[in-house]
Amino acid sequence: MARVKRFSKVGINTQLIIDAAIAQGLVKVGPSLLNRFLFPTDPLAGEIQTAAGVGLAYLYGMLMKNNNVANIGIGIGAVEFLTPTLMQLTGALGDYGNISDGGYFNLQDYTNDPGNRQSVQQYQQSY
Amino acid sequence: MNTTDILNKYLYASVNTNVRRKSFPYYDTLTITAGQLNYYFFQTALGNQFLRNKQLPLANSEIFFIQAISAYINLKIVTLAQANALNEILQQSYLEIKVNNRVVSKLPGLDFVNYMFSDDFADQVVVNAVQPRYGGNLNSDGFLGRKLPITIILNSEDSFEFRFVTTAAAATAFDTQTLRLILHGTQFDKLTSFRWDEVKENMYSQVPVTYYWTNAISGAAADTYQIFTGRPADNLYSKTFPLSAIETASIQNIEVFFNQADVPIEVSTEWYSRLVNILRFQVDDVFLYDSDLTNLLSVFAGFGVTLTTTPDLDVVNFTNIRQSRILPVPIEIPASGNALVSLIQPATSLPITGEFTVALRGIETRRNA
Repeated sequence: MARVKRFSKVGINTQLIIDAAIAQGLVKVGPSLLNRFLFPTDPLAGEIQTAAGVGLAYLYGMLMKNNNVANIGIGIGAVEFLTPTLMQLTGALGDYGNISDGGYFNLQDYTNDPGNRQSVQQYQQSY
Repeated sequence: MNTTDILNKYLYASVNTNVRRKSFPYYDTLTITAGQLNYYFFQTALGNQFLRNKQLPLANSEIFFIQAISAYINLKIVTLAQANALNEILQQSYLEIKVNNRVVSKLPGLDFVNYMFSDDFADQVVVNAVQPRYGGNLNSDGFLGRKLPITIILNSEDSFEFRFVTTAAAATAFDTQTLRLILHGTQFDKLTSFRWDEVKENMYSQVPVTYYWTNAISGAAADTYQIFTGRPADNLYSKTFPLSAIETASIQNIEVFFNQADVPIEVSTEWYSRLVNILRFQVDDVFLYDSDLTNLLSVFAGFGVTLTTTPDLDVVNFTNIRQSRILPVPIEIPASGNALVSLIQPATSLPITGEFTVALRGIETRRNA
């Protein structure tokens, strides 16, 4: 009887890691570059900024024929959109501080997006 | 990077966490003194743990996020004069919170001061105060005090000022009584040192606000009080409309509070008279709110009566109703918009004098100028 192999071979996909790094860089840093060169006076902010990053990653993936970058870019963008919502859903105020790699906090009450309004679901617990 | 890695990395602060988070209310206690109108909290050096547990500014290793604010006066209200003075604390006193010389919030006592009161029997009885009760700004979860829809951030080494300003009459009435202020919130302890600049490249900031306005009731005649306009004494308001060109506001909650009449009357009569008043909110000629005061009217008032049976008793009974309306759709006030707020009383109003306070609670967004 043939022995069933329990574990498949775990390999490190170097190319995928590099693609993920590129996608991450495009989503996070891309909008800043766009702001610097294209929109210096009226920079993109908030969700639009994230969307621009996702667009950049997707564009890069399409032009360079690299599906990984495009897909990972969309994935990271989706997480960026979801984060504020999930933070609200957890209801734990201590979770408002989200620590990013740079050692800075991204906090709710300092926003780059003046269109950022709370809905009744978000504020009804506060009164 | 798979989905789990992405989720762990971005949705939970479990990776690269360099802070410890803890629920850690700060409190400070000051003694009210006749003739003194300004009280600065969290300035006194630590020493007596039963009076205070924090002195500001914060150490470089700490950041504090205020999530709610409450306070109390260490006294039971049993007389009409004390009720009158308490109403001055609620309607004509405020807490001004400044961070780095910028006013973050100016809250009326109505928002955060809690109080104990009890009905009182005087003259020929041994036990005089009965049925003690506790009142304050009542939230939907039962919390008494001001919960904040977004936090106020006290960053390491920033300069802060918590100034409570009251009236001469209230300071005299509560002379030698203590006032304790409690900041409910979360403290972050930095496990590795870092500098966080919350304003950094942000163009806008959002702060929790209460726009309040206290107005004297002129009398029994029909009247329309134009409020949040002009410039009365500093302790009677926190904001006027229109907002400046760099501010917008989102009003999420409304409370209209009225006090014990100058010549106290039976409170239910006063209550039903005020209930039919109309609160009207216009922005750029659009009526955004135009309704009576059901579900947003509050009162704290006493009424004295002398029983004529034997033994003769002087009875003071108190009415405390606190409620506020959470708006299903917030009232958005645009920058420079022509916002008009009025409280309209009908011709059949009682001949009472006193004050009412309108409190509009919500969030203000402003450009970092």
